[in-house]
Amino acid sequence: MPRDPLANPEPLIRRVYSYVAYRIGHGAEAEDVTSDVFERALRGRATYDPGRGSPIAWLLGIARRCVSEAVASRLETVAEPPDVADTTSVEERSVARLTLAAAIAELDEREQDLLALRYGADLTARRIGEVLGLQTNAVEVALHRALAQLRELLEASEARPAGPGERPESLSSERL
Amino acid sequence: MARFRKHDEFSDLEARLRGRRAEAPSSFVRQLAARASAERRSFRPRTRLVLAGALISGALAASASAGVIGLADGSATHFFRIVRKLTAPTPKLTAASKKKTVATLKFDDNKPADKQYANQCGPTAPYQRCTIEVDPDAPKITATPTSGTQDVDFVLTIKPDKVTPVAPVTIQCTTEDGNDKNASKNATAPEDYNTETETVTIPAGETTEPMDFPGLINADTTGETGDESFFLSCTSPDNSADIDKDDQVVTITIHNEPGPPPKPAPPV
Repeated sequence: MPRDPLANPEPLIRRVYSYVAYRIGHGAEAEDVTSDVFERALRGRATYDPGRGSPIAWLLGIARRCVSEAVASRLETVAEPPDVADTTSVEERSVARLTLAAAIAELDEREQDLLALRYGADLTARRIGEVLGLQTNAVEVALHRALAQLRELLEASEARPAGPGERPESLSSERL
Repeated sequence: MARFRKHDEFSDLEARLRGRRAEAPSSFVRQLAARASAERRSFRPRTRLVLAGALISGALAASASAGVIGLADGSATHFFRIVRKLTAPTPKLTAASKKKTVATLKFDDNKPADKQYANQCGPTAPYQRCTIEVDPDAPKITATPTSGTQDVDFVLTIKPDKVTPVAPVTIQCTTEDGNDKNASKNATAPEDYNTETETVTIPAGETTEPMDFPGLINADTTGETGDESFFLSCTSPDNSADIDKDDQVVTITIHNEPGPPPKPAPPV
């Protein structure tokens, strides 16, 4: 094996977990899926080719398959967004998360994956390209489109008036 | 142009998206990293064979019975699952603990994701481990004392009961000479047995498969007495079951009894 991709596992585990949690929610299931990723990686690490990408790109390729299997095996995904320190009230933050999570869920699978790789796994466009087998500029274009569509969904949600007694679907005070 | 300059217009949205990022719990990271590091250092599929062979008396007899070809602790195939699925600590496969009971996966029947795997085993998570047991009632072998050969037959059975493999499980066993320091206790080929390799596959959905070594034992013609042993060394060539190199042996003991005293030479 020319290079062991799991030589320093902790930062890899953190990043893979963040990606998985971004896709299926923070919690026990994300831990299970992350564990599966490393189990498969451990068994298949002899197949890792440094010439085809970094260890994290290789692991996230495995993680994408594991997430797809996890999503397919359950009836519904219950996302549990993480706590984020900000100055808004608990209620406002809760609604904001619902809004953002709901809007992301409206995107197609590929765009959700792209956002998870960028903002969950915190990959650069070049690294995302390694995972998806795309050129860097193609990743940037796709990311731009995903962001534009996401903002459009959020703005449309804000413009929609809430009915009497209806739970707010968006947070109008939250600016993009 | 900066790489993400064209996304500047989304800076607020990007901040919100980054705010959704969840960090892995530190305890989970440490535990998984420690296990991954340990596995990286000594990763070997782990299965052991617990011998329970019985010595069969008779003019020339042997027993190939016995033993459990089992995955010792599951830490290879379900190593990481154990973090969440097992209630018992994972036994270490060290010399002092090789006899520990095989740990079992604990499934939560209230979780649909677990329930669907409860009666299945397979080479990868999330299934239970495939444990393979040699039929404890393996046929007793009795050979004629001075001529012929003797078969060795036994049955491989998936354990525990009612658990079926989701993929074929392949086991291959090859004869090996005994290795006792006292050479007289070692059965050797081709004098005492014939060198053979047999491969069986337990199909997916099946739980048993016979393993036969026809004509394996040669009857003694040299007047040997006492016990001699040799081995069947078993592996899983396609890794459908993981067997540890050090614990994969079925011992076959041949019990020689003195033959009748030689007839006096006829008078010349």
